[in-house]
Amino acid sequence: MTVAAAAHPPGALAELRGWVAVAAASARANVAYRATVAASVLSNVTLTVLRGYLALAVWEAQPGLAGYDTRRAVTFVVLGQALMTTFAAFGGMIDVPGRVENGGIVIDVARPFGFLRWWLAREIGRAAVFLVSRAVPAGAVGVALFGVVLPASGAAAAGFAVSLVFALLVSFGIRYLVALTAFWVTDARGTLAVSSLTMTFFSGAVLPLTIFPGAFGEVARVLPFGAIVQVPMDIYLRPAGGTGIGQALAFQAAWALVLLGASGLLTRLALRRVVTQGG
Amino acid sequence: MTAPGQEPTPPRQRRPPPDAPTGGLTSGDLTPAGLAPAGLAPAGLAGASAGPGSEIVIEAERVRKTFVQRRRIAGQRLRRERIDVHAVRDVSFTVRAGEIIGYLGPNGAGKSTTIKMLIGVLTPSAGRLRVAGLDPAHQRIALARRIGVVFGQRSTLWWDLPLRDSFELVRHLYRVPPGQFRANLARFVEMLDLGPFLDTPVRQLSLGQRMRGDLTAAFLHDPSIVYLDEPTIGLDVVSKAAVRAFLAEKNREQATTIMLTTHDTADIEQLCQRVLVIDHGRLGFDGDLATLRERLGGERTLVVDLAAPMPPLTVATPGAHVIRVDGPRQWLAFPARASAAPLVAEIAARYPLVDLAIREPPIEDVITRLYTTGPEPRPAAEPAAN
Amino acid sequence: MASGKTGPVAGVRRVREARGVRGDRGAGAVRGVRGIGGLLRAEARAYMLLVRVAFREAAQYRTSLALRSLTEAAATVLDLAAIGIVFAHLSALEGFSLAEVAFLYGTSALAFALAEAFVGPVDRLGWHIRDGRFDVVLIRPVSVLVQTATMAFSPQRVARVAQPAVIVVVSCLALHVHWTPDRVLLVPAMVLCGAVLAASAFVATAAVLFVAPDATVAVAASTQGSALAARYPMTVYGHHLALLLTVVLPIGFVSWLPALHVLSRPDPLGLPTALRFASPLVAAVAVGLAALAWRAGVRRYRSTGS
Repeated sequence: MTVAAAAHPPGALAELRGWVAVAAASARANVAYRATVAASVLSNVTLTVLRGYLALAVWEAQPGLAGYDTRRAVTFVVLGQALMTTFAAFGGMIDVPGRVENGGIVIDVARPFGFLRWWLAREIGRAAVFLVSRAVPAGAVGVALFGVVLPASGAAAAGFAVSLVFALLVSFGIRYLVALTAFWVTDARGTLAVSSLTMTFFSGAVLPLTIFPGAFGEVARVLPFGAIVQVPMDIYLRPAGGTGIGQALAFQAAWALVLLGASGLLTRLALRRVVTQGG
Repeated sequence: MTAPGQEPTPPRQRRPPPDAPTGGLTSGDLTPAGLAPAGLAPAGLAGASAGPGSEIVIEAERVRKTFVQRRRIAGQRLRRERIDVHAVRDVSFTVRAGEIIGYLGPNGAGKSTTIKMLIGVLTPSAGRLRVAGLDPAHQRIALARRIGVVFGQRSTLWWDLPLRDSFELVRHLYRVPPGQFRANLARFVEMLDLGPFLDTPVRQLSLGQRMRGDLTAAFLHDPSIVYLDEPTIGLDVVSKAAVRAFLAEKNREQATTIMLTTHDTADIEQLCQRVLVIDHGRLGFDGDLATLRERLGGERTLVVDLAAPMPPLTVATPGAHVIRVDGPRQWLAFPARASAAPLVAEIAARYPLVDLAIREPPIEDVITRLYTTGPEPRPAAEPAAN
Repeated sequence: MASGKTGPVAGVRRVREARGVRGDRGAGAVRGVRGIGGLLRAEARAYMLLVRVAFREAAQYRTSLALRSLTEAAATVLDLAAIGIVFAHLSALEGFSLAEVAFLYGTSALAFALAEAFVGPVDRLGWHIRDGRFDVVLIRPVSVLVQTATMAFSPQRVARVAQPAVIVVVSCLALHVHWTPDRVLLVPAMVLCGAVLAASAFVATAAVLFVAPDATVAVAASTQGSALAARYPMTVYGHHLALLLTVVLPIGFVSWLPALHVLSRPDPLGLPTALRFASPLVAAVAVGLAALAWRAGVRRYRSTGS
């Protein structure tokens, strides 16, 4: 504690406390309604089971599809489903449009905690709750029912853990940029629908991106969306002695950097718009 | 400052002796004389239908609403305790056709819960409720056709459509005959000056314009009862006046029964013949404003114009004293419960009195007193809550 | 009893109420409400009216509507691409030929799309409760279900029926089936019953939102789950889960069981053949259960005001 205080200026400590407070408040809000959490856990487990069985049937009919054997394919589908909910690969979940509509945005802007930081801290709190309450139960069911494989090496496990952080940042960056469009369009449902579709499809949550043929697949694999599900699963499933973990992480990090940079820039434009036009 | 002579308020004609029982819980009789502030007659005065003989339209008998909340017990992670929150406790009252009722109480007192039970949104936990001869909880749709509801904080209009389209929609949903619809709309457009923004989407309307639209929507089907939850909240002076004038007019014209909750004292003074006061879920007062003033005490003010400037008057009437002197005019405060007659008689006998006027304690003061001290405790009509 | 006047169960009481009104309010207020048929007609009229309003509201935001329609079209294309990619690698699934799987997929997806088109927005109920709009619903003289099913109605969603309809037609042409009249008739009948079943499931799960208004995502996921479960041969899910999905949750009645008759296949689960024609009965029961759940939800809302 004292070391930290000495090593950083006091401002950094206060900053950290702010992040923790916002994330914790967001986490508490996400567990406040027990019935809601229970319903979500149940539906998520159900989806995991259904998709797991489906993958099993498909890969038994066509072993080696997309370069995975049956057990790896089921692992991909089961854990991918867990990642999809945790990192909101289906888009949305950042309610800037709602705040713009009901006028609460003024309060958000007036807060002495940066606008972008506010939403990112909230998102970290939400993702933490979702990881524990949605991903872990679904993963456990996957292990019990389908014998999900474990990472082949320590490097793969560690790389997977790091890639989860980047997955969250990339997912946040995309959804935040989409949410900010609410400052310019009266009805953000349109942009939300487009982003939701694109994210879900190209994240790897619907189908592994490795299955996409030809140029379509090439393009799909360089888009940022793959960083949310496909890349973490690639790292997780990497065979022992396999290489390229650093490269995969670099791919995620680069997109996270670009998206967060763009988010900062667009935030400034959006807030300027609030100031000059009164929201 | 208005000269006393310009204030038409006459001294009260009849006033019960201070110890006489004042308007009790069931007193539906109205004593509106002397209530009117300068230039504004209480709207309901002209609506002669509010007499004691007219039909009872709302009947609440020991109505109760209890919500169950679960709260985490301090220090224990998993166990939660059940807490019964009594939002409304054994509230009883009746409303006759054509009355305008102010339903008052501090925030969280149970006003909205009562209104929601009256319109059938919430089911009472106990007690009996009849509105227009129907049971609101079980005959919601039948009742909905006969009542109008305005939420000051929530529009019932269609946000993205022009105002006119919302009215069209109300016409179909409430099955208003075309002739009646056209006539009503034309009249309301004129009364509320809706013309300039009839074709504007609701989301672009100002709060005042939106409220006028909401009022129109609530009255289009000629409801016999209209509930308004804080209809003037956040409005500017002009819009407030428009809303009040409209309500008064509809009440006079069609003897529409109106029940409104409000924190705006001018609403009460200018519209309500009768007020119900609820606090902590209990009905604490039911009667007219004058009675409420008396009950709560406070002071009235006697303004006298003398023939010439004089030093502060010395009077023998108990409780009366001069609070201000300005040239020939002096202000004397005296207990609100006491009659003004002895004081007036004393001054007239001892001093060169030219003119006089009596001012009631401002309703703000009455309400403030009410909320801070609570109304007088009622005699034990309270059954053991179970 | 409470006001969730949905389905025939509530009908009788409503009629009684309506008569009570007519007595003292004149015929104008309740014109046309005669018997259950009249009641349903009145609700259908209100439904159509509110749907028209939703179209007009959506038309206010042209860019957004255009974007959403484009997305819908793109979703259809991508969805077809996904199916195509999977099927391109498969010749059969669980012993069912490609055309047979496509037939199952198409009929169930069409049933769910129809249900979605009619009552899809009920899953927004939680939002309406949270932001207080639901109280406004309760002051209007129209059933709660009709209003909830039309609030936030997205017109472009109706287009979602196109894609599965195409799959049904194409798969029917590709099937090697002896098209007897009963088989021909069974196809539209199973889609219709399936749609009713799916709509009942939507309404029943949305009733959960009266208890947990924040569970919108979970409710959406569960309907998504049942749609997913109905699309493929039930045996994909293993014997026990398949039995659960067919008999306990009536998902198998959406298209799996009737499809077995159309495809003239023995039941891998060994269920009686009579069940293949039981979908209408199951659908009727589902409507009743959904109405009960919905009414219980409305009653709960009105006693807790949560």
